[in-house]
This record gives sequence, C-alpha cells and structure tokens, in this order.
Amino acid sequence: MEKIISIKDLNYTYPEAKRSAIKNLSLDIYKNEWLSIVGKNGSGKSTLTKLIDGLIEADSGTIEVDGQIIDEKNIWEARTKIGIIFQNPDHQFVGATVEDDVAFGLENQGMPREEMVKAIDEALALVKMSEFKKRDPQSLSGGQKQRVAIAGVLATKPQIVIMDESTSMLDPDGRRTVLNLVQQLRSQQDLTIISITHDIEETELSQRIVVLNDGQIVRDGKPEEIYDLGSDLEKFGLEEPFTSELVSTLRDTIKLPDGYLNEEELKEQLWKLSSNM
Amino acid sequence: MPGDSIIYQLDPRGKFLLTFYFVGIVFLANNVVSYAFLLAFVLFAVYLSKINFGFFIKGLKPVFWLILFTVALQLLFTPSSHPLWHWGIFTFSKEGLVIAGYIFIRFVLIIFISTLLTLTTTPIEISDSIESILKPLKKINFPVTQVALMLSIALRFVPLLVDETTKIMDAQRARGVDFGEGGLIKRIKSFVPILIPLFVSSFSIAYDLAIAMESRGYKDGEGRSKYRVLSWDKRDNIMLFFMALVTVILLFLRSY
Repeated sequence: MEKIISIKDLNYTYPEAKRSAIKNLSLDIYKNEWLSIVGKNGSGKSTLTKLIDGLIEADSGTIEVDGQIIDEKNIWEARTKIGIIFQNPDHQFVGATVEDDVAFGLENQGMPREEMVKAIDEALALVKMSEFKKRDPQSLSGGQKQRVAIAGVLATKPQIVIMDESTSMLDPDGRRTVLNLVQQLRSQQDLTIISITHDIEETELSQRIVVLNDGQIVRDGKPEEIYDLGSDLEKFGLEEPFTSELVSTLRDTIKLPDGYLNEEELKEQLWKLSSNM
Repeated sequence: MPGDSIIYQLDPRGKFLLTFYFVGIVFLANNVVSYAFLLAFVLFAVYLSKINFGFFIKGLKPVFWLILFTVALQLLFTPSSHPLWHWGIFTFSKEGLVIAGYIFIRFVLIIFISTLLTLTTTPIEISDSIESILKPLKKINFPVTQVALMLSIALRFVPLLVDETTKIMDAQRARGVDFGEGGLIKRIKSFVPILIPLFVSSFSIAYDLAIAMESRGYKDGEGRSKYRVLSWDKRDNIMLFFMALVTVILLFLRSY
C-alpha cells in the first residue's frame, strides 16, 4: 500500500501549556484507507489535525504529505491536497448561500468562473444538495450544512479528507447520512479519509483505528481488534461499543464464539442458538 | 424573498447609486408640481417592483415619531406675515401647512425609495456593489476585496450572533435574571452578563472561522477569482437614462 501521510517523531506543546499535546508521535496513513483516530477530550486528536494541515507548527518532527515534507514554503500546496470538515457546521460556513460557500475554496485557488460553475454543480450533486444551491445557511439543517461543507471540500479535489468531529453536533439521522456519504465518496473519488472522534460507534465504517491517549498512540489496529479490547478501552476514556458490551455480558450465560462480533454477527449467533434450543 | 420583477433584476450597483442620487434630488423639488412628479415617479417604481404596498407603509413605521415631530415643528414654527392662528411662540399659517406637507412628502419619498432598494436587493448584492464601487481605491492600496469579504462575513454572522444572544439570554433567565424589570440603570446593568459571554463566544466563532478559511486555502485575498458576478446590461442603461430624464423634468418643473 502506498503511503499518503507519514508522520515522524512529532512533538507539540501549546504555548503556556505544561503538558505536551503530542508526544513523539509517528504514524503512517495509506492511500484510500479510512482511518479513525479516537481518543477522549484533550487526547491530542484535534491538535494532530491542525498539525497535519499546517495550521499550527510542530515543535519537532516531520510530516510528509504525498511525498513532500511540509514546511512554510509548500504548505499552501499541501493544503490543496487536504480538505477538513470541522465540528460546528455554522462556524465553517463562509458564503452567503450554499453555492457561494462551495465556491469559496475555488475562489481561493483563483479558478476561472466558467470552471467554477461546473465544479460547484458537480460537487453539490455528489452530496445530493443540488436543489439547495440558492438557499442561505439558516434554512438548512446541521446535516445539510455539513454536506455543503463536504461539497466545498470536494470541489477543490483533495486527496485526503479529514473529518474533525464533523458529526458530533448532528442528530442520529444527519450523522448516518453524512457517514454513509463519506463512505460512498471514498470509493468513488479514491479519497483517503481520516475521521477524528471520541465516539467509538462512529468508527464502524473505517478500516483502521488508532487510539490516542495523552498525545501518544496507544493502540493501532483493525476495528475488530480495537473493539475486542472491550472494557480496556475505558482506560483511555473511551466507551466500549454497545455490541461488545452486550457480548461480554451474554458470555456469562451462553456460549458465543471468541472475538468481536458486530451487530449482524451477533444477531446470527443468537438466531442459531435459538434454533438449537 | 426572490422576486422576478424588473427591479429585482437590475444591477445592484445601479440601484445602490441611483437610490442615493434620488435621495439627493428630492431636495431639488420646491413646489407642488415637482413634489407630485417625484411622488408619481416613486409610486411607478413601487408598481414596477410588484411588491405589496403594505411593505412600504411598514417601512414608515420606525420613523413615524420623527416624521410627526418634524411636521409638527414646521406647522407651529414657520414664521408668516398672515398667521391664521397665533398663540405665544406658536404660529399656524398657510405657509407652515404647505412646508409641513412638503417635509412629509420628502420623508415618504426617501423611505419608499430606500425600502425599494432593501426589498429588491440582497445584503450580499449590496456588499458586492460596494466592492465594485470602491474598486478604484485599490490604486491607493486600500484593501477593497478584504473589506468586501469582511462585510459579507459580518452579514453572514448577524443571524448566528442573534441566535447566540437568545441562547445566552435564555441561560441567564434560567438562572433567575429578569431583563424586563427595574429602572433604566438596572436594565442596562442586566445586559452586562449578556454582552460578556457574547463577546467571548464571538471571538471563538471568529477563531474557528479563521481556521476553517485557512484550511480552505484563503491567503490574503490576492489572486482570488470571483464566483458572484454583477452584470450591467441594457436595462440598467435604460434605468440611468430614465433617471436623467427625471432630473431634467424636475429642473424644468422647479421654475414652473
């Protein structure tokens, strides 16, 4: 697999903070994977996003994006390869209308207007927001605003999309729509997705999970491996996934296969048991 | 309120400048005929906009007391050699009545025409117009594009800050603050616990927004292209010509 981001020995301490936010962190992220970074508040996950996009400068260590170590000179080039969807839908909506907001990133690149019109229509079609083109942000729901934010990012054709707690302010419905949309876009557009969250249930669709605690990577593995940690996750301030908790309770009374079971697998096992009875 | 009448479709720069121009020429009118002419012009423009007349009457409401006060001043204090009624410092005369009438019409004209501008032009169009009008200032290194972006972001965040204020007020009410009670000083004081959180949260919104803008590649406003374009076409020229005609007729009617 080809690396798209390679982080080596990264350190960062916020000005006037006693503890460092990121400690000697090294991480490789591969093309087209969906990586979830989980951790409790203050574990350094959002700091990591800002470091990757060069919004803050690391104290030491290097970050390589698409084969280039980022520094002051090429940071703007690196930023065109990375799109970020932030947490609060209202605090990232720059334009007066949906189309104006999607245009913002393209205007920054100095794209001629005729191309912009096409790119905006395409991006809005991808997130299924075409009919809302002329609407102002106040008339949209949180999930719709986040979809516009995704369109704004996609219009600039990035290779990496970082979702920094992008679904934490949405209702369950909006969250599901946004996550499924990202999943679909990842395969269609050959994107690398890095999603940052404190909610382990949100990592279902990802292929790899990195657990961050106190600015360090404490676990790195496939979702099944991480979910299988069960109550150990609580040490890092994370909640155990619901099915994993259910399975461990059930194991006291009934026999279930080892390892993590997702909702479907658990259902299947329970049906089997019930037909054997 | 997207409309499809001709007034909506005119170039906002033209509307913006001509509104100011019209407010200027209102002061050229000096007799019944010229005021009647201007009133007819404004009513014609209102008719063209296809907007319910009620919206224009509503526009008068906020300045109702100001109009009443000014009209009353003219009615009672206009000096005259043939007063119809005289009492102490108050004089009521035919001249006073006429001048009060003129002042009233003048208010109505100015308010109707500016209501017409704000009803048919979105704030963002006005901010675009200001950017376009100020463009020559670029030569003296005035940051026109940055100022226009600031203006449009400010407009964009007004509703958000209103929401924020409501939230803070609700939070304070839940803690027992009563905003409607007490004397003036007490009421003003009770706004301090609103202003400070509002101030803090607007800074944090600004910080988030700045980070989001930077991550989307916003540098310093240079080398940006524009998605929204203003287009000046034949209709706008016709409007200019029409306005010139109005001015000429008005100048002629002045000496009527």
